[in-house]
Amino acid sequence: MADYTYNFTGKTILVTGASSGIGKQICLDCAEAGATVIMLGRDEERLKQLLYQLEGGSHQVITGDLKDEQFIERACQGLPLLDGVVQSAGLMKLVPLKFINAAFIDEMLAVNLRAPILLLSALQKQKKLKPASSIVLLSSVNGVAVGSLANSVYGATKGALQSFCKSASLELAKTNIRINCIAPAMVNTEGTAKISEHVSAEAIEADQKNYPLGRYGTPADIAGCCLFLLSGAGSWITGSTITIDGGFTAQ
Amino acid sequence: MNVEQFIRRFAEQFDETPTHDFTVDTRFKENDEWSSMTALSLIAMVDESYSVRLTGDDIRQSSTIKDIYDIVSAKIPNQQA
Repeated sequence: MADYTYNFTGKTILVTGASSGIGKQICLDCAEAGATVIMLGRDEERLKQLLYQLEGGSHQVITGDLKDEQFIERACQGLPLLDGVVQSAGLMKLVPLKFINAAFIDEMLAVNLRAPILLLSALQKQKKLKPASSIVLLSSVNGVAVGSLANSVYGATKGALQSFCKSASLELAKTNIRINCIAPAMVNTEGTAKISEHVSAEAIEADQKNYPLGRYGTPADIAGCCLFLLSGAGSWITGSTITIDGGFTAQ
Repeated sequence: MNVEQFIRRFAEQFDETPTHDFTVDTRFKENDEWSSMTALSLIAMVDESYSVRLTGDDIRQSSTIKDIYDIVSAKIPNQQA
C-alpha cells in the first residue's frame, strides 16, 4: 500500500528560492514532516536564519545564483541523493509591452525557465534523483489559464514551465520519477509585496474580491499541495499541473 | 530633470490624447484614458527614464503631473541636469 502519510523521515528534499515566500514555507513544512532540507538561494543571511528555524539538525544551505550554469553544475555535484526537488525560485516584474527589452526578457527567462531546466538536467546527468522521487515546479495560473496586465513575459516563462514539464515527465517516468507543476494565483509573499507597491491598497482590497474564496493565497496554501505531490499520496501524478487559486480561474 | 521632457514622456503613456493637451497642471486621473494600465506604464516610464521606483501610493496621492514630477525629482539620487 502506498504511503499516504506526510512522514518525510529519511527523505532529502532540495528547495530552490528557499529564502522567502513559498519556498521558505515549503522548507519549514518539509522539515516539520521529518525531511532533511537542502536550501538553495542567493541570500546567505536569510537562508542561515531559516536554517536555525527548521526542525531537526542535518539541513544544509547552498548559496549561489541560479542564472549561472556553472554554479548549478557545481551545486549538484555536492548533493546527496534526493527524494524530492521543489523549484520555487522565480522573478516577477510588471512591465507593459512597450517597455519590454532584450535584457528584461533574458533575465526573466534565465531565472524562471532556464534555471529550473538546467538544474533538473544536471541532477539527472549526475544521477542525484532516487527512483520514485518527485519534482515540483512552481508555475502560475498566469500564462496558461489567464493573463494579467503588464505580466506577459512572466506569464510566458511560467507557461513554458508547464510545457517543459510534460515532455520531461515522459523521460523521468522510466525511473518512476514524477514531475508536476503547481499553478497558484496571487499569493501574499515578500516578492508580491514588492509588486503590490505598484498598486494602491484599495486596488488590492478590491482585487481580492475577484477571488471566490475571498482572499489571496498564503504560502501555506501552496506548501500543502507541494507536500502532497512530494509524498506517496501523489504516486500516480506526473506531467500534471495543479491549480491553486481560491477559485479564481473557475469563473 | 527637465519638466517639459517629463510632461512629454508622461503624455506618451496615453494612446489617444494628443501630447499638447498635457501641462504641469493636468489632472491626469480625470482623463478618460487613465486606467491601471496607464499607471503601470507611468511606473515603467519613470523606471526606464529616471531609474526611480514610483509606487502605487505615490500615484494615489497625486492629482496633477506636477505632483508626480515633484515625487520623481525628490527620488532621483544624484540630481541630473
